[in-house]
Amino acid sequence: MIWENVKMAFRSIAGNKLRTFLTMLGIIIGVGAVVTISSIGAGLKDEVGKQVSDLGANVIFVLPGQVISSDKNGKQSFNPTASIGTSTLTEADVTTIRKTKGVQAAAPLSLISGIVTHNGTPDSSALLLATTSNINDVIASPKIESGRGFKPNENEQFVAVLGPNARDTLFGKGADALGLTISIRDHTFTVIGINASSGSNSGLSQSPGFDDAVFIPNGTVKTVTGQEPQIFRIAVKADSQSDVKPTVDRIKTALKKNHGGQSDFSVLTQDDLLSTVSTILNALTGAIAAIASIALLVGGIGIMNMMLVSVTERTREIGLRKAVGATSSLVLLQFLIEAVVLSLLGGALGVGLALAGGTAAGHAIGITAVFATTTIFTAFGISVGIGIIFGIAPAIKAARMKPIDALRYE
Amino acid sequence: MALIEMRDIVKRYQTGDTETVALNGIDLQVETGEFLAIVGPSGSGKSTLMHILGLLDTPTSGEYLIDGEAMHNRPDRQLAKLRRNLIGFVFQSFNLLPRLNVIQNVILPMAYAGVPARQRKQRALQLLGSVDLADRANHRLNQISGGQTQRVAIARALANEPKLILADEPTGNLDTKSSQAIVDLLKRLHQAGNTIVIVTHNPEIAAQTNRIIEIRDGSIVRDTRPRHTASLQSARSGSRRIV
Repeated sequence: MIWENVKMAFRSIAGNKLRTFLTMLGIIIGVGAVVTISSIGAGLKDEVGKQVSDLGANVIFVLPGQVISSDKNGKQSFNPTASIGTSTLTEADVTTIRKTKGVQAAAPLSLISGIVTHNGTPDSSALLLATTSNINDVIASPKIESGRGFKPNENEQFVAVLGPNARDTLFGKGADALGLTISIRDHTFTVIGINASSGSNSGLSQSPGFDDAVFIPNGTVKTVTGQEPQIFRIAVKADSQSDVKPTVDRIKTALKKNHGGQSDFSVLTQDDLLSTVSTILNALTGAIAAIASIALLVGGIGIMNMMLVSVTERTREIGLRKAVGATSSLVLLQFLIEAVVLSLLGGALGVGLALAGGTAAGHAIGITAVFATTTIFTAFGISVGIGIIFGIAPAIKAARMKPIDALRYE
Repeated sequence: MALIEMRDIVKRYQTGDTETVALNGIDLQVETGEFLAIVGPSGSGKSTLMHILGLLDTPTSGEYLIDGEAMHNRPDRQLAKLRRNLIGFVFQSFNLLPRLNVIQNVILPMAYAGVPARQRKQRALQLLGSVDLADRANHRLNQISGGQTQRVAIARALANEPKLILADEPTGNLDTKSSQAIVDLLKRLHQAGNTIVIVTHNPEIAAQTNRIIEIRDGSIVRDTRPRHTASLQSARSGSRRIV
């Protein structure tokens, strides 16, 4: 009987295509939005996870400002703006960290303002970074693809390592730029190395997009800009995975001493970075889900409305079915199944929409949308739930009809 | 024992402050194999009587027995089962489901009765054959004529081998020729042993049955047997129902 009801439901849906589609729209949009957002969220998490793990194991980042704070209940809150502004990190901090037990190497990263040009061609999207020669010992990505990195004795030499995008913009796609020169604030730097692509950049990651980076030695900054470099990250490599946590604590203690007892800096592990991103994404997904649930509610009411209309329209059919022996519960089942089929179909279309939309949106922002099986099944589960919740009242209305009244209905 | 026994059936409707008496103490016995017509002017209560006979409606008071079993105070679920197993309906407006094709309409009561799918189809084809519509099994309802539609409805009424076939103005929406075809079909079913009650206001049709019950203002005013006993006796003694 259930299977026949399902077939029956499809028949009645096929008989009213436009009305059915309009009824399902709320469910389609609601389910589509939730699945799209969670697929993009999952894609972003994967992307960030990949970027973070690309940096290599046991990497710790020290950031200026207190980015993550815990309230007295231990609840963590994330405040990215704390790291913006004049940096609280200094060269002395780098030295301190290098001396800290458990630290293998540490390299500062400073953002330098200035336009990079080659023969007058500017690369306006270039990210000008100053660092030390050991940067490649600390983070595993980006890797040198051709040429070489800085040597320790080159800290005050005017040499540069380019990311692949910067190279493409300045010298032409795939050009051999080694030995050629670029100009930064009237200073000429010789290109000594090109980095390999570190993959796409989501922009949400805590690490900058290295593909656009132009690395110059730390010691040249003062000459170029007239100022000490503003350190926005200190990348630290810890001795071993198991040692990361105590090393983080030791760094915190040592830096706090440097900063006169103030915790105006953050020491984040890769896990912290990932969980920070997760926190943001979960909040985002939650917000979208809340909005989508309104769409689902509206969709559910739409289904209820259409089912009520359908029950009224089919009063005589209900009377006839009862006359030929349908019990009230079979009539109830019939209309309930019809509502569930309706919302499930809406859900399926929503999922289909999300598969297309999520893939397209992911493509647009440079990530691969991830469609988890659980997400899809949850979407279908929610659809069934909506069908039952909003279909039950019309179904009860149908089941309660007295056969004689229903048959006489005009 | 009579197939149907009604004792002092009363049906009253309450509409606002006014009370309408639709049936005012009906006593009626119908034997297995009878072919009878209920006649009377509109508003006489014949449709109400029909609905009570068909377990679609319940009397305000009185006793109604089918095969000696009392029908009052039965829960909805039981009434549905009794309708499914005991009674086959034929309506004036056919009441077939337009979304289903011919054979699916005939199958419907068997589906509710839980007959296995293969058997349903087989029996439905057999029934359609007996109403000369075997070649229309997969037609949609808008592809067949009114007379054919009513024959589909009759095939459906026979689906679960009911003890009683109730036809409410079965020819009301048909032209004379199709009407006579339907009456002939009902006669054939009667000769095959079925018990048939038809409600009609057409005296020509009533005259072709074996017993005419005339209702006026909710009471039986006449109970005549124009073509008495012979066919009734043969039907009763003969083997019951071929289809």
